[in-house]
Amino acid sequence: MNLWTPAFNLGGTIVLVTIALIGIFASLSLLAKRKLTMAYAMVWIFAFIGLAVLVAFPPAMNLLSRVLFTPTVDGTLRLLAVSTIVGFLIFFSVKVSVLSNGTEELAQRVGLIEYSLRERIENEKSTRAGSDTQAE
Amino acid sequence: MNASPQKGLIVIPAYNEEQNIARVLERVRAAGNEEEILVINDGSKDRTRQVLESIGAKHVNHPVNLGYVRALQTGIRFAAERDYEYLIFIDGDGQHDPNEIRDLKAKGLAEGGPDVVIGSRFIKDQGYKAPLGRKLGMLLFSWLTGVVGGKRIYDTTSGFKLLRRRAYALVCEQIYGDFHAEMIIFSLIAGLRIEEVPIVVAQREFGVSMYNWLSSLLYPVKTILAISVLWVQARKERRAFEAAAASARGAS
Repeated sequence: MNLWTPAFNLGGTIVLVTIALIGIFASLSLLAKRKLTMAYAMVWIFAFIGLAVLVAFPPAMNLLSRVLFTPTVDGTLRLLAVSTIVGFLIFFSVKVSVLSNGTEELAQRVGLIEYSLRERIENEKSTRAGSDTQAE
Repeated sequence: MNASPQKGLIVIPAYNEEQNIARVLERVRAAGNEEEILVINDGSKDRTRQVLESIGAKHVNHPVNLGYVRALQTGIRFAAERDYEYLIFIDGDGQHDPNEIRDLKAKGLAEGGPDVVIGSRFIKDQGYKAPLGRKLGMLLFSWLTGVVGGKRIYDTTSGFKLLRRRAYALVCEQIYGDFHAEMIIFSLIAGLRIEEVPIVVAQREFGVSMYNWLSSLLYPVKTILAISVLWVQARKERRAFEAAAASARGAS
């Protein structure tokens, strides 16, 4: 197989590159509206750039098929899709776990700090009550 | 306010225990326990918080429900910050008899006593009946404590425990499962001494158990995973403890 043999016909290439461009635009737009943080925006932008490069430049896709020992280009795409999904699942599981752990730690701290505040207020009240009694 | 040394803290984790908690506190006090009592209200959705406020009980409120083990960890952190000598955990559902705290203390606070004392339903036949599946699970984990930890502990799921400072300081940041078999095995491998005293457990009168069919199904998987993770941690703790002991011997 020639490295320059197109992996998709023109229509398919245009559709996939358009999807990638829309994805990049959507990520940037969400970043600008602060609905997506920089780290996650970068993850998505790199993923869409990767898709655009693979689709628009036939040698990239063909070379990847050889490296991954996949007999056909659509096999390569399927493999990439599955790996990307698994990769994202692991990445987001780790992120969610770290955040959930952090939230639980914070909730514990809030409970303990609230207790200390209540204790301090009660101590101050009793000290004030004691000094008022002495003054009388 | 810091507790003076040798002082203990009784920690009662509570989630939706509005019908039980006041009576549990009353019974703990009536049993003549001099320790301070702290209730961890784990984001209860019922009136547990209002009940605690109305009776003037010391309590820490989790703003949301974090689960049993996080409630225990908050109690441990509270004790660590205020330097308590020992901690006693007793469930907030009224199933444990506070009079038996004295048995835990008699064993745990004796000269050269163990680091952890567990109130056990199984070392003497006290008439406790568990469903078959649960019984098999308990037998498996009890067997695992002997095989992996080197000492057979008969009641691995008891929530009635006494932990001395060295024990609670060691387990505080190693929270994975439900503070049951995994923590016992971790403690045994790390070099802590654990003993059991017989207790009687009553049936819950009000409210619902924290375990449902799904959590009962996931429990063994979760515990075995936690044991695998903690096994590695415990070996490190053991080596650190032995190295510290060796350098102390060398210095003396």
